[in-house]
Amino acid sequence: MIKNYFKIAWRNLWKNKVLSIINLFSLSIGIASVLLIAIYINNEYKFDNFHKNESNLYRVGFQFFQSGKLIGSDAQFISDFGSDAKVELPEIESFVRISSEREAYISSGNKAFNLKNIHHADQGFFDVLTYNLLKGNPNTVLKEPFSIVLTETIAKKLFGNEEAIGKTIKINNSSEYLVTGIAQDTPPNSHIKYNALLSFKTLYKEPGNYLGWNGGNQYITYLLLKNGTNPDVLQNKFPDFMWKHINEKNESIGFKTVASLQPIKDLHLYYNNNSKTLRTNIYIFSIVALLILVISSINYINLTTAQSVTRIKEIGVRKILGANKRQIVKQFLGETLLISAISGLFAIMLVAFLLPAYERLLDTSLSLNDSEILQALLFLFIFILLVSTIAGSYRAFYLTSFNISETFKANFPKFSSSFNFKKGLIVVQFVITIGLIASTLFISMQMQFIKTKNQGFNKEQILILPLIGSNAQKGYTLLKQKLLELPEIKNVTGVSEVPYNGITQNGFRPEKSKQIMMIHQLDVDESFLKTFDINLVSGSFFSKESLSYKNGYVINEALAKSLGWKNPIGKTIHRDGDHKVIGVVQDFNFAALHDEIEPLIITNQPFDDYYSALVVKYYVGESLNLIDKTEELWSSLLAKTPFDYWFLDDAFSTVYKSEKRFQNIFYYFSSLSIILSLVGIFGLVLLMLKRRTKEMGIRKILGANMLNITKIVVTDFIWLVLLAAIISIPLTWYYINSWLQNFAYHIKIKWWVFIITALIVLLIVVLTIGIHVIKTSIKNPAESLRRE
Amino acid sequence: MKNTLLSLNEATRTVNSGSNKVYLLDQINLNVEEGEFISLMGPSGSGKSTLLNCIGMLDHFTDGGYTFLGEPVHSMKEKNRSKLYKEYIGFVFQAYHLIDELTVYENIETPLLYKNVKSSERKAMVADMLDRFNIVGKKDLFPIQLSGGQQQLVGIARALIGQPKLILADEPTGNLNSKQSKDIMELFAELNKEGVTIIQATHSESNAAYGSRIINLLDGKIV
Repeated sequence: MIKNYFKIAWRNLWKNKVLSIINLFSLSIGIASVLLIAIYINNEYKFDNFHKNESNLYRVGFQFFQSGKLIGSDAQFISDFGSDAKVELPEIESFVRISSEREAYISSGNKAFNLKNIHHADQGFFDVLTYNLLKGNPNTVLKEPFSIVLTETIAKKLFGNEEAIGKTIKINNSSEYLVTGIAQDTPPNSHIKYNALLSFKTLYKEPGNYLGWNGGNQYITYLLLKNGTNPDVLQNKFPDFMWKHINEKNESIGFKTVASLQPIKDLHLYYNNNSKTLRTNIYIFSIVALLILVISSINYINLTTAQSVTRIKEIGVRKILGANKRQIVKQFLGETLLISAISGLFAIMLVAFLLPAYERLLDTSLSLNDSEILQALLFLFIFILLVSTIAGSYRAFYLTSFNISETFKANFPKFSSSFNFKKGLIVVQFVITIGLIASTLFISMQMQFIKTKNQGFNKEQILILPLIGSNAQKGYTLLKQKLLELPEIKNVTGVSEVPYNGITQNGFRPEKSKQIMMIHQLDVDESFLKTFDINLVSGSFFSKESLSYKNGYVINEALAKSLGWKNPIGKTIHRDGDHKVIGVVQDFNFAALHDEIEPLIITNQPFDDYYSALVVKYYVGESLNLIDKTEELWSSLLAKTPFDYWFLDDAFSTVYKSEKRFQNIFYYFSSLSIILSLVGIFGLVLLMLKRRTKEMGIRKILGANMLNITKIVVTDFIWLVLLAAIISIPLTWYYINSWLQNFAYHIKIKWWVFIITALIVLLIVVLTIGIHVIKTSIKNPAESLRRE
Repeated sequence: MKNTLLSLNEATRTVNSGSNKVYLLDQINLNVEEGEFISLMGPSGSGKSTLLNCIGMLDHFTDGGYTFLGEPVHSMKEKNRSKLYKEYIGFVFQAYHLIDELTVYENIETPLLYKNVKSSERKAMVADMLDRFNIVGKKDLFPIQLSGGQQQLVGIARALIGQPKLILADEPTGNLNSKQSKDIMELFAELNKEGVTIIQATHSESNAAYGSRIINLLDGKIV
């Protein structure tokens, strides 16, 4: 019996080659897209799932309140939180702290390079968290001060094939560290990414580190709870603990810190800086996957009903030969299953083929392990069953709904009554297509907008020279002076941080206020405004000539506004003494454009008297020459200090990398769904015209020309497109609008985009119909009538 | 003594056309004995096909009684009815109604599949049938590769494979030339001799003559 069904299914596929190919193509692509999206989403959900203590492992998060108002949240906090919590709270089995990520020059012998993602970590790091240590004793590698654990890659880069353990490394050309262990590189799904770990005890040996309860919010604490502990029990003890250690002291200034537990598995999707964007993206991609699934199923239904005429007769015959309805439904579901299974196979091949390119697009490694491949196959299997059931049941029940004697009477029995359903499907298809095209247009408009949005300063022709190590920092004055002598260079300024991806906040108390406010602080020298082309709104800026300004503050418009100061010049702000406001600068964007411009204080007094980078403004077209000359100058002045540089505009594109990536993926999948739904529309037009072959034959005999006939068919579709537009526009408007709310600066939704979209869809429909009508009407009308 | 195969008692079939009730069959009384060969005659639209469909249980009477082998078909559930016709009735059509995607062999085999006959038994039965109709050489051809007469031969073979008591034939030779028609009718006569009851609908006097009884229909009534 099954053999018989398969034969029939196969022979039907073979007989209608064009439709079968379109059908298989559409389903395979649909399945492959859903698989790829599923792999992406799965990848986002499997972050930090490798820790063996996963279920008892938490990071501590902190929320900061000023006068009861939430002003910020962070995982970085005071270092003694972890050690004191372990002593006082019995629910905690053990804890481990890591410092916020550092960047430094590491060197050994002649080899030296800049290394990012360096953390200090407590001795228990490899015990509490599950990272593989390849060489060294996990319990002792981070025991002694000035110990360092390198990852395999970094060790290889520094020592080649030589044994690294026991060697010493210099960091920032000063302190020496002993290599005690080699760790496997961090897996791509780890939220901590380290290249090197320094023992936490080192911090106590270095001067200038705040390691008590009185400051230094740079340490992230992980807690391992005792087996069977309810995290809420521990969390409920935090308020008393925090009151005792810090909040009681801060009550007078209205400042309060609240601690909470963040499950390690949820860090990536719920507690990171970009978690909200990530979840939005996952949500959007789920919708796209769902749409692709719907489109594929609709296509399947439409394209297979297009060939139903012969099948209706077959069903009639089978019923007469003794088949009952259940057997026939089974047969057609089975047939759909066969087609889906073939498509599934194609889809697997497609995915295997596309995966490397997809990884590049996503900029992550998606390598699936064996159990995940098994999971993916299971998912695929369920998915195919689902598609087959959705797409197959309509066909099966539609085809079996005729009574036997009806099946022989006409070519399309009862067709008109089910035609409303078909029209419904067309409208759904158009709704999706219009929505996707419009969304794609809006998303690309927004990305373009961000790219060209005025930063408030000029980011072009700016070269950054990081001043790493005390040698370089001390060389600032001389370096600046020599650099300005180069003809390619227009201006040079020293800064504490480069304003492009957010800058540090500190506590300040403005005059007449009892409370401390957290305000961004940037320390710069006198040339800052000229170098960045930032306008001064009122007052004056720091200068070499007026030494009295040295102690003053320059604020931005946003701060003046938030304090309600109409005339800020001369007002005072308190931090380690009083500081007069000497000037106001125009707002400029020092963070990614998601954030609104926040209050800012610019000082002329860098921490420890050193700037951390030199910002060089050069003349257009001089960049190549410039780097050679700068490096030459650098090595002549600071022989043993490594030279590094980067361009500000490049850094900006990195900040928007995830947006760019999201945009690219969205483009690919939305174009795919658009193509798929056009394939569907093509099939529908084919179906409708087939049905009207006789009508067109008669019309032609009665004297209608091609244009008349096209007009008749097109008019039908115009109404459907209009109806779809009316449904689609508000929906798209709603979704795009909520996406745009993620950006502080965003475009307005323009109505004409929808008009253009509807016109595009209409144009495609008219073209498809036109081609078909011409093909049909060229035929001899007698021929089309004889077929009846 | 002959057994009654089926009997119709004032069997009526109506359809609603707008607000009018149209009588396709109007109070038909008919007894069919086992072994009869009945020819239904009458002009187009007189109700021949409707009567065949209703007797064959593809359609149903809207009023009156229908008894088949002593069982009341009119009050039966759909499931039992289909069991009944699967067991006892074979159909032959003017347009043959073979499944285009199946070969001659597979077409003949299909009814057995729905009766859950075992594979080995099926093979033997289909082979017998091919032998009997002399179409062994054509068993792997598709319907489209056969002449009309050959297709109808396959159609009859398919109707017979389930060993029915009754064959209902709706204009079985309507699409055939006179030579082919004669062959088919002779085949029917032979089958009838072997004990199969046959009811055929036909326009042709000469075909009707093969039957043992002629029933004339006009406007849904027996005349």
